[in-house]
Amino acid sequence: MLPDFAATVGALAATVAERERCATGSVQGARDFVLASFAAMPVYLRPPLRAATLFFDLWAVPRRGRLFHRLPPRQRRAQMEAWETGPARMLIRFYVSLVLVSLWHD
Amino acid sequence: MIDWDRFDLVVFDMDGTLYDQPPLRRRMAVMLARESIQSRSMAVARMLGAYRRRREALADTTAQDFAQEQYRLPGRDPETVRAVVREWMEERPLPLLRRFRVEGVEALFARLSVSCAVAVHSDYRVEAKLAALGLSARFTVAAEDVGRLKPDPAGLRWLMAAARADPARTLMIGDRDDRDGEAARRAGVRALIRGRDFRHYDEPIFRHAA
Repeated sequence: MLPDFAATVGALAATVAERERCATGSVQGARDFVLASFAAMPVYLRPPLRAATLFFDLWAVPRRGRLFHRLPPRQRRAQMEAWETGPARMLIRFYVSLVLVSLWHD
Repeated sequence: MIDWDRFDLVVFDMDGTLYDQPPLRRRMAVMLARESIQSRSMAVARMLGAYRRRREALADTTAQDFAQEQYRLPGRDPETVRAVVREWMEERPLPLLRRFRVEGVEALFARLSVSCAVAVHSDYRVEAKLAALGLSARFTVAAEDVGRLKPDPAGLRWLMAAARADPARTLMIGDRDDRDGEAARRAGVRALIRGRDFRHYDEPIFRHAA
């Protein structure tokens, strides 16, 4: 049971898309957009962001017995929203912003 | 094969046609994420998303007061929406545009300008983006000028009237068949769609342009 960066980004994209029901665009497109944005970020920003994302994925294990990206949608959303108002809210705001932009129609 | 001699007017769409949109969008998304973190609010991202959806919905209708209608979002002050849109969709992207300009477009504009009128037709304001791209066109028209979004052909017809060009002697170059291509079809104009018919302006299809 190893954390998975791309799968976590995909799960976050799906969770945001589900919450923002009125948004258009596809979850797969959102995942690809966030990963491409991550790849285009300055090199020095990527390792801490990747580490924080993997930590977010692992966070669910002691509580739910599964990684975040393997949780059912309701539990994913609960974890994301708990983090959204918690000490690591910047991480979630970062991803939510990217996903929101990706969900706008071209 | 395009017979370039038969065109008096070549109309370009702006976003995605004169510059690559995906890398610009990624840069803007990261800027917006930084803004959301600093302001501790997702309000701007949500407002821009709602505005985009509003524009897409308006494209399929014939709103009488389009210029104002586009900024009317539920629970938002239209002036605030207008200011946010101006900042994030019109002003902030400007310094980034030049580096994403599509290969060969400057030379194509120069060649076409010798023998025909070059125009730019966009759903958003054109002039500042065109200047930021280092390009100039004889005619420009935005959705607000004609009160209609593409695929309504009002903008294309406005340009043809301004250039005194017939549909048969007009070419539309865009990146969305459902918007640019459809506007061209409704106006009886031939269209080239970037991503379907070509990718950049150094391709053989443009070799004999002017």
